[in-house]
Amino acid sequence: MRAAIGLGLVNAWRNLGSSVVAIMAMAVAAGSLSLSLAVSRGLPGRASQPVRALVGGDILVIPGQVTVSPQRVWAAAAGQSLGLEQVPLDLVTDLVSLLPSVYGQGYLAPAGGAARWVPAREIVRALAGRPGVAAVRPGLLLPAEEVHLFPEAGRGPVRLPTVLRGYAGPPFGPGGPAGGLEPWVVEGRFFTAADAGRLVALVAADRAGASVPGAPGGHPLVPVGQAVTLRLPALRTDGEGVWFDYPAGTEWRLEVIGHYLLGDPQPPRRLPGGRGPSGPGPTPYVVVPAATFERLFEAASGGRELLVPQASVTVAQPWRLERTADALRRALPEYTVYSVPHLVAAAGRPWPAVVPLGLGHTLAVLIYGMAAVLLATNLWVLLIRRRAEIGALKALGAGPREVFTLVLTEAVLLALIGAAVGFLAVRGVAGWARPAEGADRAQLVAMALADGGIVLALTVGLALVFAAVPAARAALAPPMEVIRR
Amino acid sequence: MTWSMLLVIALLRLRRHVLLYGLFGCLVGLGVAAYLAAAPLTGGAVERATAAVKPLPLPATAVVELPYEFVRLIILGDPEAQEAPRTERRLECLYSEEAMAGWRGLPWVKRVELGRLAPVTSPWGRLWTLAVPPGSWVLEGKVRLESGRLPAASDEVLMPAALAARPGAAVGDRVALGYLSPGPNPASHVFTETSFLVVGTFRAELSFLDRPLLAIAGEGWPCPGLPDPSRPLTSAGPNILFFQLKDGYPPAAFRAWLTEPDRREGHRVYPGPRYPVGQFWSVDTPRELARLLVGWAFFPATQATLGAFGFLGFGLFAVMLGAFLERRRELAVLKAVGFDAALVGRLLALETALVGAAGATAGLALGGWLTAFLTPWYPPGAGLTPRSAVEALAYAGLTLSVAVAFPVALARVATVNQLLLNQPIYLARREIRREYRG
Repeated sequence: MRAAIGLGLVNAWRNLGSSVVAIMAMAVAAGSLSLSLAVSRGLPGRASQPVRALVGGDILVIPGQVTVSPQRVWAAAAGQSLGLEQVPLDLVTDLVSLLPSVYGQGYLAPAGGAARWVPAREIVRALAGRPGVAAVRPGLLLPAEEVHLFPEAGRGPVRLPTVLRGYAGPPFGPGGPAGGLEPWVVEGRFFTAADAGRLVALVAADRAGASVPGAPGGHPLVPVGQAVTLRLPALRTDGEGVWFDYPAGTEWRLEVIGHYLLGDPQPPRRLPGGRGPSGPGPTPYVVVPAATFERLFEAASGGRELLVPQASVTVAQPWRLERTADALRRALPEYTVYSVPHLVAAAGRPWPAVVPLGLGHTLAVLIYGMAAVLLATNLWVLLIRRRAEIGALKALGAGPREVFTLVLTEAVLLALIGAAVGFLAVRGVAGWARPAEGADRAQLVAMALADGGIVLALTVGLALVFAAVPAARAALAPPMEVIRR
Repeated sequence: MTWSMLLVIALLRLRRHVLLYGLFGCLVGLGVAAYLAAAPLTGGAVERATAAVKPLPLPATAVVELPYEFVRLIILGDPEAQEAPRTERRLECLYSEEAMAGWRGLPWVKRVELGRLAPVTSPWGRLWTLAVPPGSWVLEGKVRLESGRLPAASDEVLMPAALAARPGAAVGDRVALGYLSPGPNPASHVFTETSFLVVGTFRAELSFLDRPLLAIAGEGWPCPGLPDPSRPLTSAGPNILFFQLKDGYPPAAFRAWLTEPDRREGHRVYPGPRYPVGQFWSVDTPRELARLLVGWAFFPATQATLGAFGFLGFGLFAVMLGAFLERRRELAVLKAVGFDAALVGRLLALETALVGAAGATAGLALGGWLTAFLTPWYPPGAGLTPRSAVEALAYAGLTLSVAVAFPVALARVATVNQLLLNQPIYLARREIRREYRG
């Protein structure tokens, strides 16, 4: 048996040209499957931890349709209205940092699909308990203005638009692999339980480079220990919607207790759109504890029910991230559902394209079928070419089992090499383009191993199935018949 | 020898190698099916679907966001050939009278108007406002007034009806709008809260004319109290120009002209494009975005599929070559009984055509089923069309032709001895000469 395996390996090497073709076929198929798997899992375990820490979960959900799937475009062709819209400047979501173009250039939206404020309990009720959803956190965000004095400039106070953000806890839960914003604090301290309800805040250390849409950039960095003055507009509602009365705003002084920095300030390379791969870029937020946010919201709204512009979802199984997002997208068509990897991949684009998973899987299966048949055909030709060798082997005493093993060894070897090449190429390119800094390495390795296992198992399985027939024929033919033909 | 005899021989040979040719046919069929599955996402159906997206209702043909001014740096001569390259810095203001005259002088521009998009804080939230000069053609005939009149002075504002329904925005009310003027750093920003008189309300129907409208008075700044616009600023926020292009001149061509590289002979120019365009809107913008969206969503899948189809050609080539090498003895016998090169070529071509036809037929059937299965992802009306079927068959035929060309050529030129004795077969005379010289 060992000799047969050895011969199979030698044969694969001897027929290098055909072997290369078979390897390439399997590599294309394995690459296609790897891509399909990676997409369905949220890409190569692309943790994008800084962005997850910012969003507060794995999936960002926005009431309204701030993005459109290709199906929406098709619906436009069927007569439904689809036009260019802009997100109102006061509807402050994480798209302020991650996708600011939706506030400026605009985005495609169906009629009546504009983003909106919704009661926190409504969005939580819509998302909680759905398959794959481990936790839902309403996005505690409010538009605000920072009031800065520049005595040396000799001018009046400057009101700089900003975003007040409530921090509701780590996105992965207390036992999870990441601890929310806490690991990203670079100066000062993080919130403690005693800070709940107190006027304390965290700001980004790189906020000098931050801006909010429709405002000039450059948010002054308030040193730790000093106070930032925040002016909160009064929240008004009527039957038509929510708006903010700025002249009726109230001022609050919050003590800055720490600076956070999401990602490497000097990433090794930059992605389109000028954002580094390590984080969401500079953020203008003034982050306060959730209880403080609720206190400020109550004051700004006159005691109204908590309204939110977004929610974040933590998935139960990270390796099913895109599937969960896809399921939410289908179940809640009136909401926009972005997975964090999608948001990260959208750098430099007007909005993230929603890739239909089913289509990718179907095409991957088709490509796989093609590669498998190509492998089988190649093996068949190789066997026909080597029938004299097989005859000689049989004449020397090799049994059907050895011949069968020899042929299968070659097929499995070619399939293994092809699968490894395809898998590593796709994962390598994806890893280069979208590094997953900050991710839990053990989880990443486990995910990669699981994906690799699936690709290798499927590829080898197909090779075994498709090579079995030619191998059996070669094994069962009598020696003289093999040599004579 | 007649074609019917060739057909009989070809069928006999196919029967003998039924498994090999069956796999060969499967390959062709899968390739055709893959092409048919991917074709609806790349063809004219996508174009038709995206073209149905509503055009952007604009008050002008094109709206361009440009910085108030920018510095153009020109390196004179070849920078690598000079020890200390000479440079020239030019401050270019895109909204000065001179610049406006330049815009008006462009041969494809009928009219141009200055506008300023400015975000303000108001009793109804942070809003974008639009300021245009009094009597602007941008407003002329395009704003449907519900009450009052157009703004004519720098402290007057026209409110969209939806906002005017909220408290404090009726005609005759005074509203406080807060402007933040931009500057090179936060210390140079200026916040000004100014009182404006609501002089009318209108129904918002067009993009850019769906927000509070102000009049630019005097030097062109809508915000009284802000710095003199002639004062150099590194950024003056979003300023826009409304262009009415001459009939038939496509906005895309105008955008291409604005953003094409500024090439000055022998010099390097920064920034690279002719103008640092921020945003560009035209009636086609939603359609262009829709095309981009569809492209991003489907590009990887369709490219992988079409790439696999191309890769199939290499596979078929390898298989055909292997099959030829294997059947040397058969071909030798055929040649020995009188088959000349043309007949051998015809026979192999016929075999390939038969297998290809069978595979393509199966592929069409599989493709038909697949396109029906994938219909939810396709543009409306897209699927298996005669055109895509013909394209798939044409590509399959082309792939097959290329794949079998080399093995058939080898079979044609080979002699009986070469085939029987496993001798090398040469296609080119140079190779033969080299062989005999050796």
